[in-house]
Amino acid sequence: MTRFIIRRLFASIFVILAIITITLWITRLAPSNPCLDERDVNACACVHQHKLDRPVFPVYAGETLAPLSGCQYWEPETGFSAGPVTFVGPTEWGETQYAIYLKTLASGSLGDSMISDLTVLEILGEALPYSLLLGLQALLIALILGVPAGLFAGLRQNTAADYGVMTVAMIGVSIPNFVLGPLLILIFAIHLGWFSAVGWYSWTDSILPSITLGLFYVAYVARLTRGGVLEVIRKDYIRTARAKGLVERLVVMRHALKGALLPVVSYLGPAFAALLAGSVVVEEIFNLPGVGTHFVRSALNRDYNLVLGTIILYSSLLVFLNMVVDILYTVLDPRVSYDDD
Amino acid sequence: MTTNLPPTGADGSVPPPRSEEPPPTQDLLIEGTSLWKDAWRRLRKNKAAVTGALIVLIMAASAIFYEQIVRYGTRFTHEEQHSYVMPKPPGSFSVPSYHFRFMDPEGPYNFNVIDLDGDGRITADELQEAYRRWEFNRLDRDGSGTLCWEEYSAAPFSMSVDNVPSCERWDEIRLSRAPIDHPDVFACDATDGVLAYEDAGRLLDIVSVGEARDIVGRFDVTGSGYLTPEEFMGLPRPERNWLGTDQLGRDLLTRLIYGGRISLAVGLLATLVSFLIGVTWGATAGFVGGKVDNIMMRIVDIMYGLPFIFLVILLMVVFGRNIILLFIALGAVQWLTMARIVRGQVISLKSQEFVEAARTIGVSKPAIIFRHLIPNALGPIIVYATLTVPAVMLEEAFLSFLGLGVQAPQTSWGALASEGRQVMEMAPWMIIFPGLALAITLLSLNFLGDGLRDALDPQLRKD
Repeated sequence: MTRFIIRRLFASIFVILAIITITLWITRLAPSNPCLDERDVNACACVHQHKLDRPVFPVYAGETLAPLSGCQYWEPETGFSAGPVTFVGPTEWGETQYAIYLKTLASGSLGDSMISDLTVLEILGEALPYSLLLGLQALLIALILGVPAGLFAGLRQNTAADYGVMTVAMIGVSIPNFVLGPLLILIFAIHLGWFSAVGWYSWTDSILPSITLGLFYVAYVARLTRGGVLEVIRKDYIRTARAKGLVERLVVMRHALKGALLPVVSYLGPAFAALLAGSVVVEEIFNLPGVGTHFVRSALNRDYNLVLGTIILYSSLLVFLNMVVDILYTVLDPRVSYDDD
Repeated sequence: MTTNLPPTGADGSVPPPRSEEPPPTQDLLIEGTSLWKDAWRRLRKNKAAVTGALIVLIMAASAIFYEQIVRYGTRFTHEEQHSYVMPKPPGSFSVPSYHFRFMDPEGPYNFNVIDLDGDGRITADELQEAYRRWEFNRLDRDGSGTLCWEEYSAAPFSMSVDNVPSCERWDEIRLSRAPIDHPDVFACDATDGVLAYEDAGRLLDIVSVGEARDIVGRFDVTGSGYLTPEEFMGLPRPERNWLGTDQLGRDLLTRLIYGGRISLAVGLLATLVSFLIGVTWGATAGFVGGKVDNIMMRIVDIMYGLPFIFLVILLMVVFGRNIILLFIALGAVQWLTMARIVRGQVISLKSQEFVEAARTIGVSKPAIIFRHLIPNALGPIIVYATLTVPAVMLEEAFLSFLGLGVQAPQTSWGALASEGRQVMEMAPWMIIFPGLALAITLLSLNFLGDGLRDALDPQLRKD
């Protein structure tokens, strides 16, 4: 198991590095830049401060780069030049924006935000608790409501109760959270006045967003659990458990549930990814100061460092949580082992 | 091995030589069921799936026959709404549109009425006159043919009420039959204090000749300068707002059908993209096997753990709301599961006899994959593709909701829901109807996908 974890961690670093490279490349390809909104005088200072006048990746001889925002272009030999620069020789790796960013990362920082005065770490540190709480509560709602519903339906297969629960679950899967959220606001915040419509002032304000985010997963988890129950319930070991005179409740709780949860556990990995994505919309709807809000805003503002910071945060979270899910899987299903080689 | 041997069928059997007689009729007595026939029979029994399929068909039909539906249902296309319809307050139910509100080929203002001189053509002057009459008759509530003060002052249009004397003054003038001194209104009412049509008509120049000419020109297909009866029938008739209007006074139903076209198109095309990538990738990995398979599937494993939707968001932000990019980006996110499914199928199929047979007669590897393996693995592929469509549609709606999907004159259900959210306190239907359209379609597609899975692959069915 330890070997598995080490191998996974090692692979994860490469995956995240690849994501950083792609993201950095995409952001720099964008037709605008973070200094565009500044006044003319400040624009060039901003460009120079954030070293946006360097080549993004190593440039080879003969390649021409146009200056950014009409500012002087950094040139390895002379310092700065006014017009487009044709590089005579290949530039050093160390002078590229890519390398500069990686160096910043290596020093344990995510860089400065290019729009606000805060560092990326400060911004994300402030936003992450909201997003985490939101995601965890949504997941909790999904498991607390979804697993019992799936068990209930699976154990009463092909009865009216089963069809009822599964139809409700199907409807739940089909209602987009960006429709559900505003409707919940309309009913519970505006008409009934139980919660504040937007913003996050106390814990109660996280209830509606969590329900909005979690309801899809309640339905999905219920479907998965039901499928798992149906798969497991005819297995020999369940029959054995019944044959030895175990109470039905114990058969279900001690034996069937464990097997029935396997599909749910393997879904948790993709679920995390989808929860993170969903939180972007939910934070937007409820105007919460979470990571998702910062992500969309920074992408629109071309705040390169903040975009990269949120992407790194999301990918690390995902990679880590996927690993946890894989480990959890071996605990639940002894047949699965990762130490086969 | 020569290549001019007859190709093998998908089931591995060598087709009979052409000269042979058709199979004896006794075989038809015990008719075998093919996989597809059997699946079709099972699918028809599944009420939820059939209902879902019907709803999906209706949605698809409304997308295809958008023009016709809009013409007869709501009277204006999405594009025409931007230029021909007067802005209205949000959520006006059935407020008639400004210019065309009286020109109904089947209503009282039909061709013969508007065509004053009866020469079979409607000129701009006649149109203007018809509009004036319509306006006058609308004001003349008691049908007396004249307007009294109460009727006149109730006029909703911008005849300056400041210029109209008060009711007492009007009455005084009417009783005393004094000479009319008010320059704007009473100049036209020389006799009795009520406005006859001839008097009022001058005040009712709501549509100028230029505007009338513009309307005629817009629907004058032949370029003759007047409207023929055929062209008149082609006129959009008074608008009907079945689902109300949005904040710019555009009809919501028109926009819903229009947006549905985009949503469904994105769903289909992105699924097609994911289908192409996933099938090619999975089939190659499964067929080649060994190290190549290992590497290709490891790549899929790694990509499973990536925050793909964020890269898509980033792409949409960076490269503008390009709809082609949207198809490709969404499709590129969705192919992973498809690749896994196809690989599994191909691995289980490739050791079967018909593949061996194809190999022995020298069929090339790509041909084996695409002609023999994939058609036989089609069942699960179709099922998964059906389930991919709602997933992709949801993602498109999600992006559009964030303002990153389709661009402004175009719209999709997600974009409509996003607009609706901003005015939902005032006009809740603006989020309810797009949300409903989206939810119903997704629900139907999900039911259809589940039904197809049960029908095509009964072993997967968990009961």
